[in-house]
Amino acid sequence: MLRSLCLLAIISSLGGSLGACSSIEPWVKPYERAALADEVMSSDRNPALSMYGDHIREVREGARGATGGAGGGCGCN
Amino acid sequence: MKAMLRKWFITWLRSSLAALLLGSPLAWAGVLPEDRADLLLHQYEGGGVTISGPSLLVRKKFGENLAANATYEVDMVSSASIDVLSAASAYKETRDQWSGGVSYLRGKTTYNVNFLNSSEKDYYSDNASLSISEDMFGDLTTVTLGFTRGWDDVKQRLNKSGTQYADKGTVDRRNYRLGLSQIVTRNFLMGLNYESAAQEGYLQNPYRRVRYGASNSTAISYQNEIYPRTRTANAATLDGRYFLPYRASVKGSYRYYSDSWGIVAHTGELEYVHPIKSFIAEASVRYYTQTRADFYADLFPYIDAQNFLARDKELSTFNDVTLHLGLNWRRAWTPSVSGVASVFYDRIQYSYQDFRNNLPRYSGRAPINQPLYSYGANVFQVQYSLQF
Repeated sequence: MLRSLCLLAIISSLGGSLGACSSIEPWVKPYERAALADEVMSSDRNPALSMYGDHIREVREGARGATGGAGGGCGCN
Repeated sequence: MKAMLRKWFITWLRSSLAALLLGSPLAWAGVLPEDRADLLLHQYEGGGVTISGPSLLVRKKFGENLAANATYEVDMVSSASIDVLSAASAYKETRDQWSGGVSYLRGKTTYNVNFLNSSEKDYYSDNASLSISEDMFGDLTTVTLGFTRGWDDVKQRLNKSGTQYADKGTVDRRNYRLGLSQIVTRNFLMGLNYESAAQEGYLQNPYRRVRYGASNSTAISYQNEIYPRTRTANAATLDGRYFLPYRASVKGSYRYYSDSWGIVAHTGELEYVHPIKSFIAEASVRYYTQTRADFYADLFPYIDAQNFLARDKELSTFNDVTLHLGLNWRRAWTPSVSGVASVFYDRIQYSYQDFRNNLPRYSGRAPINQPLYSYGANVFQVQYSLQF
């Protein structure tokens, strides 16, 4: 438990420190992000479908993880 | 000196936890995911296995800073797979899975807490996840750090009617994740995800057996699998999505995976998304290949031939190819509420390079004369999503 709290504290410290870098001038301005905000660019269009797809693959393949989801798997057989 | 160090550590821990709870004072505003309720009906058929059931997902914001999510999924399994038929008899079972979570947005930092429970009569699992996302560099970059802890209980069904079970052991799982999402140009997004996983405990399947004997003989014997009690794995995915000039997108991704059992896997995927009036069509192709685990063999020469023994086809050398097709139709009910009806079809083809087919029709042959195993699976899914 103490290890987990320490890990979170380190993560939070890093987050707070890196937040200070937000003054960097963005090279893609907010008004230039219309295409990026389009529905066809979303990686989260169908979250239930993605979860079920990850589950199918986790059960039938040796490799898993790094899919950008919550991770950890369902722990099922 | 020791007291000073202790005092410094406690002060640092307090300030960091305060930052964790209160967020970065330099942060600007971020955005939580949109409200939605999805109902997905799914059916998987392949390799003698049929799995069907519903999945429900709900996300709801409460104000600008707080959101909750919940999912529920049922898998009704009817299994007569090659694993089952070579070691036991066909069975039916149900798996229930539910999850719930809360997201809290403070400035540019989002904190997520999730809990997931999966239960079958012979497998029970709990997962708790924490993650922190931070938007930075003018919102061009999002960094996510996450940790998941899982606790599993493994049992073995002792009779066909499923009234008696024996405890086999527990599994302790830890997953650490690092994600980076980057806006590269006004049309191009990139992502990098890394995950490290460690498992310890009863990692084998209590029903599965390995076979041993001479490869040119029909006199084959069986013994239970023996797996190591620990497994550590590392996976990294690099992906990029590009917006095409005529309003469509193309995505490419690659994942590298390796673990302490000797498995190395490569996954590549290409996806194309194209809107047609109020429809969005999607198509993707995914290729997966892996090497076998160090202790896997289709046939061992004699009993207890080595410390660890496995004949799980998921630990063999194999590849699979998935073709995914989908069509989504959006209809606006009011200016702020719309519904999306979707249909999806996946065809998956599995080809094994060192796992032979010992289904009843080939079980009378010597292993060397049994063909390599392969099968195709069809996945049908329909979904209705209400977004508001």
